[in-house]
Amino acid sequence: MNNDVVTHVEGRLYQLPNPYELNGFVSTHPITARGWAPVNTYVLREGDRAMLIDTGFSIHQESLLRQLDSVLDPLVSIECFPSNIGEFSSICNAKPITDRFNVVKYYGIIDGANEWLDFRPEFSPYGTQVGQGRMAEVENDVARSDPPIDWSGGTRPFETFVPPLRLLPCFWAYDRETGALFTNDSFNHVWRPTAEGPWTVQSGEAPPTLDEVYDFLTNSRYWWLPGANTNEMERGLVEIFERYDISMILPKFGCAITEPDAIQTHYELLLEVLQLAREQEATGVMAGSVPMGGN
Amino acid sequence: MTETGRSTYLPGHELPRELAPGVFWFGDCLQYHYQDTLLHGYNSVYLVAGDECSALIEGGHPRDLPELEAQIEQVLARDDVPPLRYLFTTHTEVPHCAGFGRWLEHFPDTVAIGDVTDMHLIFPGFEDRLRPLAPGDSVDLGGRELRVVESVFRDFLYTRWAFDTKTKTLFTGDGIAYTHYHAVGHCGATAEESPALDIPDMTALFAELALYWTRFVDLEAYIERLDQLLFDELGVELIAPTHGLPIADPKKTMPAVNEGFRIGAASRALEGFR
Repeated sequence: MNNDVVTHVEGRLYQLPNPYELNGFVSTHPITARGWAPVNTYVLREGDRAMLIDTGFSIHQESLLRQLDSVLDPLVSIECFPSNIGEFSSICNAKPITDRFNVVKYYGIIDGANEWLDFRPEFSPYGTQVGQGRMAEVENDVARSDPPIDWSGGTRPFETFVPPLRLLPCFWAYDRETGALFTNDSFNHVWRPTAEGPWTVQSGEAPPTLDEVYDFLTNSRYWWLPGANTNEMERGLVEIFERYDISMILPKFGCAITEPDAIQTHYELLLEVLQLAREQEATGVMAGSVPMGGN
Repeated sequence: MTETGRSTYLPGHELPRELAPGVFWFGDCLQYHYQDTLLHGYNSVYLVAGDECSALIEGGHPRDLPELEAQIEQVLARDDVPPLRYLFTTHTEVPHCAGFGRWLEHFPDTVAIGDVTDMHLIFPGFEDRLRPLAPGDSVDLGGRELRVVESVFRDFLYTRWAFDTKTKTLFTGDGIAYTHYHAVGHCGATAEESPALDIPDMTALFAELALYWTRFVDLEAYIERLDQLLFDELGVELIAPTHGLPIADPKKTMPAVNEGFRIGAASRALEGFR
């Protein structure tokens, strides 16, 4: 299994991928999808400070801690930003990370994030309080789009914003220093046949087809897209790609897109999917009757 | 929207509360400010007690777990409430099943049912106690069944709702959800006990925050299907949502909820639709 840290910018930006099997029992992909996809944690570094974006699934705890050991040292002050605090793939390992590293701040959508991040029975069993121990010492803050989050001491603002395309409430974010756009549950449409990766789109790699991306989206988190009015989403996406100088697209799950040609190709592909979707017959009402499969 | 902390109950109803014979409501208000008003939202959990075993519906928000567990213990101590056998979740979003790890560990005879996608990644070690259920499946609690039904308003594709055949209670997860006012004793009350509650606006607010997709689709088709399910197919007499106050008179109250869905959708321009 390939869980090697991917260095996007040495000393500045790391991708910590941890693959999980697409076996028909994951919410991120269609039940018919097979292969492996990574759930990604990202680390921004600036001197003795770091920003941690998402903490992955519990099953990857030991791998993730090893990955973090390789890019952080115990004295680095870490701010933890779950891009979607309501989804487990953002929060499962907040507790063990806090216990091992110098986490100094959590960002939530309302106050008291430390009590949102502590639910695993091995740390807080039935009948016990949550958010205690080291977690109780961490500052809680509320993530806001304006002003940008200053995690680096004024040198590297972290811009967060409500995305044009999403299922659940979440943030996208932009790091101007590296040109990284963090896209949560968009641009997740590249996965691999095996757990060996690679977990970035490779130079010259053929993109998936329009139909493949459409099927991926509409048979998983974007079941409601067929027949939807996607004009506003399309405009929002265009605005973001015009506003920012994007040198890499970093989704929470799926392969990262870092090649300049691939960024443009996958961006246009998503726009085409949105255009295709609104021409389709709506199917969302009965989607709730779909039986679940798996092998 | 900003948060102010854990709730302090004002006069209303204390939880747990038995809403219908053998249907208990657990929860603790989550309070936050919105446009100068102090609002509350629930991440409710329910217990359905059969003659042979009981089921918990939904798995709670992490911050509520200690309070929820105290309330669960209080109800399980009753002579007329048999042991837990099933933990049903509508879907694997944090406020809907965060307690499942603690509860699977503490109640070793239980199995998790409903939409249990991802749970093997979230709570490793319990893989053999996860049972995905499809609409039409049911579990027997003794004297009543908990039947899985389609989710009309949903997050994930495999989100499930549950229906108690004895009291005709429908558990709708995120499906019918709205905040309530902290200051006027709505906490622990049903929608019908809260006449000052502006259900349309509160529903619209929740939809805007949590059901993003409703801005972009033809909602009338969903509302029509919801009405069919509630009144023509199931004969629902009590609606138990995860985030809203329970609805004790669906025929009276659902028009206001539907209006809220429409207000939420209309808050976004639908020009160009179709």
